[in-house]
Amino acid sequence: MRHPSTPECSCLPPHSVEKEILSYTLTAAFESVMASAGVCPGLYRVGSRFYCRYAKDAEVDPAFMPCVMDYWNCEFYKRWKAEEGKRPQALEAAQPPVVEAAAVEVARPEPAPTSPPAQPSLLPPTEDVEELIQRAAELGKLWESYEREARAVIDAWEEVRARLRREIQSLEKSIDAYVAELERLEVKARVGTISEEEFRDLKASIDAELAERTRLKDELEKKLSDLDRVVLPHFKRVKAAEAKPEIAKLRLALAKLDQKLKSGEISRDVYERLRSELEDRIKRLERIREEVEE
Amino acid sequence: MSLAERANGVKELFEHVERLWDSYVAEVRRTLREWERLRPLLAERLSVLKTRIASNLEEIQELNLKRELGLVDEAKAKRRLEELSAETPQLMRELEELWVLAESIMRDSIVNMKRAGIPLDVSEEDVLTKEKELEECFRNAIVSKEVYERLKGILAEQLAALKPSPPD
Repeated sequence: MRHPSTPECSCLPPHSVEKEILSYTLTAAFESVMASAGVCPGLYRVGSRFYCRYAKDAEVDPAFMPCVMDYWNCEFYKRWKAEEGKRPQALEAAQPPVVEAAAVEVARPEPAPTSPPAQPSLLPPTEDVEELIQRAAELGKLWESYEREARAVIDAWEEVRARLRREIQSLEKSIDAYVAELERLEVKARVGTISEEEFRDLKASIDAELAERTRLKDELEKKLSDLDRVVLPHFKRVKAAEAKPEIAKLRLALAKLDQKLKSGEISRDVYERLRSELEDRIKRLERIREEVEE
Repeated sequence: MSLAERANGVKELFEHVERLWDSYVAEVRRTLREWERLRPLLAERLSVLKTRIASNLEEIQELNLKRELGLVDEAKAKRRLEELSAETPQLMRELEELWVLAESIMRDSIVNMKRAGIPLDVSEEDVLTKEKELEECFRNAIVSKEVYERLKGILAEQLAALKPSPPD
């Protein structure tokens, strides 16, 4: 359950901080009610005895102390109040559980007990909260740093990817050219224009070139695939947040592209190539958005 | 000099011519074998150069368009355009030089194969296909007008060489 006043932050563990903040909020409200009734907010009762949280939970006798109607002149209250200003904002309202204090009544003094009962610490776990706040702030910084690095990697990835694809395209053309040459030579050998020996010799050299180009192409394709595999998760993570505006931007660009074609500013070839690229990017971002929403 | 001596002299001349002819045919065959070794390498390089230049020119066009549409980072686009503008003319120079050389050798091979009576491995249809490819490369600015005209001339010479010789 999330407290309505608690800001959404996926970096923080949900329960502990929320519970504490909720508890401080409620006790602050209670303290305000009690103060308006003229009863010291530090006064609480356990059974028939009264204790003061501002006096290190010492037992007090409200009949002889300024706990009622005059607590603002109490030295313990004043010391607590002075220290309160130094505490973090979130902890100002920290108070002990409501149930005990709700039962406060201006009671008759009782005989002093021999020793106060063992009490759980009712002071707010300031250090824990502060530590969590600090950890959350550190997470924010780490995320910023990650996002910056991931964007740099994605930028470089897009460039390297384009270069690899160009190299692969060249190798494909190279392989096609050698295959065509080999076919031509086979025809020549069949009709007897070149001798069987010449053909074997030429074929061996073309086969060697073909094998080398094919090996290079396979290697580059593997590199491209490895690169995609390691970068894509970062791409998805970083792009997820901006998928929606990015899609809108790409759709607008598509509309402008249509206009440019209609006005004759660009050729159909260029239009088709760019449109296909933009549509691919939109599809990719939509897939990322769907994954995130699921 | 007796008539028989003169006749022997002419006979020797014919024998010499025959030896020269045999030597010529053998040299043509040797050169053709060398050409066969080089041809796949040239064909491969030409194919790669044409593809690379076409892809660079497309990228330049697309980058400029993407800049207008606000789809690319200005600084990155500028850097890439500078790279492409430096690389493309170099590739074009290499392509033009190799293409002219390849077609000139092809023309010479046709002429010499015909002379030497070696069966041709190029048809008129092949040359017409090359003409179409040249037209397309020129239309897409892959070759300059000057080189286009030069190559067109060489292909015309190839076609002429392929035509059957007129009867004597």
